[in-house]
Amino acid sequence: MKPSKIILPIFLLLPLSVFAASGATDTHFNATFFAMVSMIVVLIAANGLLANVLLQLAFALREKKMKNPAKQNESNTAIKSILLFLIFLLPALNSFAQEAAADSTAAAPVSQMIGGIAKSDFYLLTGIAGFLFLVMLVLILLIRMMTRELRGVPFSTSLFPGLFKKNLIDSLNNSVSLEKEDTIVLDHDYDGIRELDNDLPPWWKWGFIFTIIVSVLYMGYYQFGGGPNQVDEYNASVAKAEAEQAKLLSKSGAKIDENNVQLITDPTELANAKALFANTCAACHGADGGGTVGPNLTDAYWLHGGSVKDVFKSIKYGWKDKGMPSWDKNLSAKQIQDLTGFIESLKGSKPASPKAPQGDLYKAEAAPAADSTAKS
Amino acid sequence: MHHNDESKDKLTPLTTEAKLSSSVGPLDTFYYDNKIVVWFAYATAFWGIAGMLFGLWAALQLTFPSLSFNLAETTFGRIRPVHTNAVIFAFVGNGIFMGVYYSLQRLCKTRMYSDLLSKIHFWGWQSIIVLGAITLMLGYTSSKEYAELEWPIDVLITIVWVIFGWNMMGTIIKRRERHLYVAIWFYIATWVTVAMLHIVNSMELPYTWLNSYSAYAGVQDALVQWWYGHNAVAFFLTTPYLGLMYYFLPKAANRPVYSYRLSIIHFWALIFLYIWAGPHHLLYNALPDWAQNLGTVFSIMLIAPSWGGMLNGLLTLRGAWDRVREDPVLKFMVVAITAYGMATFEGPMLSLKSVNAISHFTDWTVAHVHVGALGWNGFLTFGILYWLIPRIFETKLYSKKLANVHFWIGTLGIVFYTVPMYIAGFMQASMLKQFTPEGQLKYQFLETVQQMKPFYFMRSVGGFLFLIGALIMCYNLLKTIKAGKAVEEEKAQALSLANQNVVVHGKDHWHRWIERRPMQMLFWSLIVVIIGGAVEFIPTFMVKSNVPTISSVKPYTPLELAGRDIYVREGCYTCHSQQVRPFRDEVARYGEYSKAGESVYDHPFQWGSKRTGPDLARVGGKYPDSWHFNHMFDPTSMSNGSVMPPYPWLFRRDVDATVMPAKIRAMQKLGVPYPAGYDQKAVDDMSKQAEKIAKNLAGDKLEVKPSREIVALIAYLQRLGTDIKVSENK
Repeated sequence: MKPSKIILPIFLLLPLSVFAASGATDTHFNATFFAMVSMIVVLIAANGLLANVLLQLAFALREKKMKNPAKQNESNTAIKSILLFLIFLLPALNSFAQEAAADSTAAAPVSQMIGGIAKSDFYLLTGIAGFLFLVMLVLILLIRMMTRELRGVPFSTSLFPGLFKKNLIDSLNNSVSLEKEDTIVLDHDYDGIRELDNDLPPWWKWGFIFTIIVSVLYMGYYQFGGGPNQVDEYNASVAKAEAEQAKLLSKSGAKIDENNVQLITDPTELANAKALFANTCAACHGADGGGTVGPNLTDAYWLHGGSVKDVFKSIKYGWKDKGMPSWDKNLSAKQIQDLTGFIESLKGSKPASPKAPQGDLYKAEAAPAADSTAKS
Repeated sequence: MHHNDESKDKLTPLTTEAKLSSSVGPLDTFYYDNKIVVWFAYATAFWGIAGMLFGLWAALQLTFPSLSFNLAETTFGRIRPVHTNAVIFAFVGNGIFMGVYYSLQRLCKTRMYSDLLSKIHFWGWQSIIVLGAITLMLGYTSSKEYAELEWPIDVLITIVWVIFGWNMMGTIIKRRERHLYVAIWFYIATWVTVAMLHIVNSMELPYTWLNSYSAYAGVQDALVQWWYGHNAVAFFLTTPYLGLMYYFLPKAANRPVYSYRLSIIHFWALIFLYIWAGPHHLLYNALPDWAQNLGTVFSIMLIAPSWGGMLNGLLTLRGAWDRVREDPVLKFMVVAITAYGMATFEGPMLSLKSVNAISHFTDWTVAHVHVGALGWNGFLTFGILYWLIPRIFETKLYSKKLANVHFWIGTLGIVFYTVPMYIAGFMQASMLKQFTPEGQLKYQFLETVQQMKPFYFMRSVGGFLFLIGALIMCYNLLKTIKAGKAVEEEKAQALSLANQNVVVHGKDHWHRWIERRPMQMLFWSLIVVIIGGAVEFIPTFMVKSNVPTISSVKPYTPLELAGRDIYVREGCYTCHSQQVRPFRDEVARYGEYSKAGESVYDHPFQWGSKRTGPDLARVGGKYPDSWHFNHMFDPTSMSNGSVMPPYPWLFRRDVDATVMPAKIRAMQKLGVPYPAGYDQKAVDDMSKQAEKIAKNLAGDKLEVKPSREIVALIAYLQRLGTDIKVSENK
């Protein structure tokens, strides 16, 4: 192992700073954001440095132990476990950061801010910084352990002498010490197996009682105390979502619907719609709109009307009895408008294997006046 | 003798003279039956490898669907149950019997009650496994998870289980040890509870020699099934293995069990509380809220009793941790117990409604069960095998180094299996729950499937590593066996009970009373495990308001029923749920949330537990018949990137009309309101409906004979969720 390998962990952490950059694009300069990201970068650097020191110490320790074969096994396990720890920790951090990046872009429109940055970002950054700080503490602790080990000072007596007293675990569990085990061994011998009569660990006992109390309170609240049942929860979440959308709508102006849908002709919008068509419509209507499971969209015959309004409605609400799904919950009104425009643009194209016409002949002239104005 | 060697280096001899002083009369000489233990050990290793291979195969199919080879017998829907049943009942089952037959004889100081019963038990169980694997691959399934085997095999299981119990209780009764050790309490509770679970959940009405309908329907079937499913984990994968831990861990570590008091309280608390927790598998489903709440709180209360077992295991190792580093047996056991602790903490967390809303139906659950299955059951079995085989064959383990290699590969396998599944599960749930600011679903289901593929692959790598480890173990054990010679009849001596005086030193613990009375132990265990189920079942079955009826919900037409039986046969429930939970995203994606009254004629229920594909509760009418036709022939033609396998045989095979009258009669007996004498008209109705669908398909240039199975399946799919009319937002 070369020391250069410690660059790897730092490299793995890089997406964190990428995330920081992507978060910053939408604002100009934000002092809080800058400060927090800088803090994180400093912490990463410090952790990288500490990790390096720790690795060097680990190698030094291993060399030392090599000369002392009696203890070789032990040190190998220690080094192995530290390396394993680093190996598992870093990719985890990495994916965590990536997820965080995805989340922050999704949550951006929610207008709850702290210090000029989105609340969720703030907590996320604080969380990352806190986590890095913890990692730093652990690294420092490990380095101290290592240096003591190198100096030959027994770990348990040197560091936190009170905390690592031999009977800490024993006193936590209220167990009789190993030396005095004879006093609590029971009379029985089952095929050589003896049993001790240690007390129940107090934290376990009180934990058990605590869960019972929590359970009683839980039942009391949800069963008899008017706590929400699952349908209440559902209704509340729907009401909240509707309120949020109404708020959004009041800001962005009227929503596109079947009464005000426009025929789009903009080439970039049509190109977007074409990609959308390939993903959502082509399976049933064919890649070129010639129809397979669903009807041909290129001819002049329509089952449910061929006007912009009609096509928009067909996509939005679907025709359940005919197997046309409603796309209202999956596509935005803008997307449906784009799709409608794209479908209208297919009119008269020559698909490879067109399906026979279905429905009635639709003539654009017969369309109501509202439609022709929409085209302008 | 071997086990005597061990007791030599026991702790300082304590008060053994107490026992000797009470002895009167000569020692009996008898022989332990090691042969049956070795048989079960071979079966454990063999079925372990087989079960893992099926698991790996199923896992790989999610990345490479073509590995189903377009054969009915080898599609995911059929081999996934083979995998789960093989691992639970063949691998762990034989592991239980191996450990019980070894430890019970020694803890009771007697040979097994009957060699004949031991042999019948062994061969009976192996034939159940073989028959089970064959029938599952042929499509004979009840579709109730971990209880998929059809009724004749259910009967066989009952018989063999009774033989096991008879042999076990017979051995206990003729014991030469006055008190029952904690391991035996767990064995007894396991036996009686599994018997109860199996019988109640397998209530079914046969309509052919290999087919049946569940006696329960809808909500009630779901409740019974998950009472069973949850407690199969509790009483097949947990309590017997805790019993094994209580024997093999102190033996391997040469340490006394940490706390007798802890054993008592965690044993009784565990078996009492476990039974109640089944409904946590149905949170946010169409199960009455009170039952869901019970499922949640009893899961929370389970943390401490579960951890009691872990603590008693880990603290038994006090003073032996230096050896844990060197002894592969102890290493395996420590990881097993730790995995048990992690899984039994995670379980209650997953029972919290807010966590369950995310985890349910995703791979998070799959990760959770594999911490238990690979870590707890797998590693404890490996540890026991490494300890047991050299002892019975009076030799040393062939290679300690290989055992260590196995340990590390296995551990890595667990990590590589579970971590991708945790990430995948969480990721899929987060994607599915996201809305755009305008209020549309941000991702289609298929988009989440695309995101899952790399994780599915990494999981297969983890499973592959675990399998490699197990193969290394088999090689190591084989070499060990070759080097030694089995002591099939192991000589032992003990005083008969009649010749032992009861000497009580000081105050006798109150619990000693029941430890002298195996039949009372059996009886009281049964009482304790009956309570939870009874409190949950009786109101759900008897009180009408728990399953409000919906007048528009009607029985399936004969063709739909035939299609439903195909749906069950193909194991569609292994990837598709039929249960829309009352969440904004699910209602937007699938339609109105499922109501209890909608599945009253579903024998068995098909709510499912995992969504590798989308929910189908309201798929009826969502697509045209021709969409389903094309999709079943080649799923990727309609859903680009789908991991569903094709089902070409449905287009070749005809629905067997001759059994239709029997099906209708069976349904009538179960209370489905077909008019009297309808069994005679059913076939007619069936062909009429089939012709209509075939004609409809012909309109889309899809030619198919009306008698084909695909037509029946389309009829069923198009019916799903259409009984209740939900107001559309027009």
